[in-house]
Amino acid sequence: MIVDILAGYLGAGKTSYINRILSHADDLWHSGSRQRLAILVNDFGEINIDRQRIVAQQGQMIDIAGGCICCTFGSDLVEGLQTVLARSAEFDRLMIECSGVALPGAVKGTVRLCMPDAVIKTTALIHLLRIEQQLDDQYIGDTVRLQLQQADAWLGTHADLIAGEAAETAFLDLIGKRLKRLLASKRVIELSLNKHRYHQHELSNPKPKWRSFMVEQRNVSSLDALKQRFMQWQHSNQDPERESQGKSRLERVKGYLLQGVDDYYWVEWANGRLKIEATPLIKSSDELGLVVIELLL
Amino acid sequence: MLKALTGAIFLSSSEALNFQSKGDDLTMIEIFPAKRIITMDQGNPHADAVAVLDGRILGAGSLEAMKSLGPHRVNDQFIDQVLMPGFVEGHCHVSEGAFWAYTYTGFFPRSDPQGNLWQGCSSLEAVVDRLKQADLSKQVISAWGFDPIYFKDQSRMTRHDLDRVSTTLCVGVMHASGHIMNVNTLALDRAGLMRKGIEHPGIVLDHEGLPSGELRGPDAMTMVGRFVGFDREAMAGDEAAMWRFASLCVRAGVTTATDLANLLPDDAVNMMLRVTASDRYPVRIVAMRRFQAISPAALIERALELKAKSSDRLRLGAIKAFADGSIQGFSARLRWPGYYNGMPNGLWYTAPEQLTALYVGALANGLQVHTHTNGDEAIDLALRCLEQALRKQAASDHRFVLQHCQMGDEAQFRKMKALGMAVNLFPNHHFYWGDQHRSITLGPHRAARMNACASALRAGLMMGIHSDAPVTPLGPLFTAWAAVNRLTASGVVLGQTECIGVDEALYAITLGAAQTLHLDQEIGSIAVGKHADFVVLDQDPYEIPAKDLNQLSVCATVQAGRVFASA
Repeated sequence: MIVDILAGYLGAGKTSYINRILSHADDLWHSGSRQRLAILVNDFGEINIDRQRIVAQQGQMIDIAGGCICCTFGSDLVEGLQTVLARSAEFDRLMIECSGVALPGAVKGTVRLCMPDAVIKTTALIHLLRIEQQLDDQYIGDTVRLQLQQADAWLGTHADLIAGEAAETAFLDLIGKRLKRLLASKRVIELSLNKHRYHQHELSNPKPKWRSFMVEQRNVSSLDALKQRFMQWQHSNQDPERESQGKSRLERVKGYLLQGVDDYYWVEWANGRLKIEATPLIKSSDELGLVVIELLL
Repeated sequence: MLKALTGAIFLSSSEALNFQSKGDDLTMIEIFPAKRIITMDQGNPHADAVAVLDGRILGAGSLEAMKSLGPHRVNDQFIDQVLMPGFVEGHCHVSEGAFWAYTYTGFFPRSDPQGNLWQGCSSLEAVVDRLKQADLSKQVISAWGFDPIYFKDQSRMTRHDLDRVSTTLCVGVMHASGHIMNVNTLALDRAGLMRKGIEHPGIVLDHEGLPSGELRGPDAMTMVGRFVGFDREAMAGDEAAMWRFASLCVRAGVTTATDLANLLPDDAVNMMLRVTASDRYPVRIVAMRRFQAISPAALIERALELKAKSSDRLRLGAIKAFADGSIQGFSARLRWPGYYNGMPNGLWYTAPEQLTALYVGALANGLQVHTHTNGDEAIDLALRCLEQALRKQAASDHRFVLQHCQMGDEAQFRKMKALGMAVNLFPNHHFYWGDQHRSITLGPHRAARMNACASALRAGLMMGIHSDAPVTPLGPLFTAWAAVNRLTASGVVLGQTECIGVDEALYAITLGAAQTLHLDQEIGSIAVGKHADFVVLDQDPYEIPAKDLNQLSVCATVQAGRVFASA
């Protein structure tokens, strides 16, 4: 069983995402993906289910044409999971919409408890235009940070509000600058951008377009070695230090490095060009390290 | 349906209540003379007698004056006792009645609905022994109130302890906090958890890597709850639980009580309407719909629907929202400097935008919202949300209440006053968890300003105080004692400057609590026109030392003129 957990702050687009999936439930079934879906949502309030497509409704559970079932769980996730799992023979994939303040790590732990053998992926949805304000918010900032930190993948949303390629640039720059510290060391985050132009088969599984990870200060032996790594990567579309990761194009690099005792450098890679320039003292050692974004090929 | 599982047998009907039917003409004035009547009505603070007609107060004053009101009969059964307005419990849960279907295993002595005093269990052995006496012919053994933080030896209960109770029946023991549960091996097995390799913060593992039987937090507890009698359906309460709760109210002197966080589906509402309509039901219940699994707009619609269904003894329409969790569970949201022992900050239970949307909708429709806030950051947030909501939707005397509001400080109380709010504080915490708050969660300084009743009153707030039963026992006199004395279980005074006087505490459990429920026109004092709701005490609370306030005995209650003996 595959379980997708959709997290992200209120307004990030989780319900819209679910609604798009529901509106394509028939197509999903017929498009060859042959995946029968069960969806657990907080409440039916904003969920658009065409009445004509409701096959049956019993309590918290709605059966929708196309083999999809939708269930509400309120704040009692375990009870919701138990209700859905009683019908586990009827679906192959489970999608869970978290509340706007839920932490994906906790939800994942609970799902793992109920479904020890499931393949579980947590995706944090990021409202591209609001995320910075949310991260700065006195009250919810730390919750939003934890949501991003704990997720396996990030999905940028509301990209349609930013014209064309600018959305991609905005998303990647956001990750390079603002979300840098949320990439815990040695973690690779899958990145994708929701432009509302999905192919049907992708709907229940947003395909990662990019991946992002951190190169820690301590893992950079010298600027020359770094330069060589990136050049080789560009040449072969393969990171020489992560050969098992498959083909990818080096898309973006941003960050500060310290060389010697107090020589700080700004390192940036964009559009196939590497820029390394000396820079004055940085604010804190937390800023050291590079964010790398690769385009999956 | 779950039946009583303990040695004691509970009556599941009105027979549980000692209702003294008058059998007289209801149109005749009934006069209750008493040794003293404390009215809480500032214009007429004391009386010798109170006259009742049609369940309402016709007058309070001298016996002669009452007799002059018209044809009457004198009921002198309280002639040697003291009358006060019936106590108003502004924050409790009817599920206290459901819990008494299970075995009580708490550290502190506690009275059951029949008035039997259950001794405290002060060691693991005492708990195991008590569970061994539970009725083993039943299908499960369920217990509650377990409170090991006070045990001398700090050993933790494991499934092996409970396996000594039974290996053929599932055994479950709920902790006093309601946030932790211990179960036996069979229960873990039934829930599919008797396996290695579990990684979940709520499942404590033993040295072999198997679950120890201690389950923390709602997720882990729900996994096993239904096998040990603690499923949601059982805890939601049924008729029997409603009657047991009523008995507890009579013994505690409560004539109006809240059910503060009910999901209130139609079945439950119909059951509650039916039960409270009985002329033997002794309590007015104020039940609030919990903001959960529903959008703000849908909740407003539902609350209006509920409000229209209200009866005299079942008041519906108010809403309960949650901003954060609990301090002792480290899920409350704290401002700098955070938890004393360095635990990370707690959790938000509702997104602020949703709280604001709920407030706007409720203000526009004249619905009252009670918001659970424990930590000071959660209080800040609730205030900000209401301030934003009031900018969009001005409203007068909305009287939104912050419930618990345990870490509220002076500035926050002033802000609440300015915004037109009321507060309901939780002084019982000083006694039950005050020592832990001092040494673990908040440290000595902030623990000393918890439930700062004196500051709240200085800020001019309408204030109630509460038990949150079943979290702590239902008992407004105990709550008043806790607000006056602020003693912890170990005997430390927690913040002398926040102690309030006996008069202020008695006001808080009567008219103050009534104000927080927007019911002060109807109840909370003995004044003409109000419901004839009284508590009958064996002594005058002003005549005994303040430290003995919790020793007063409730002899009876009178609710809408009907007398209910508490023994």
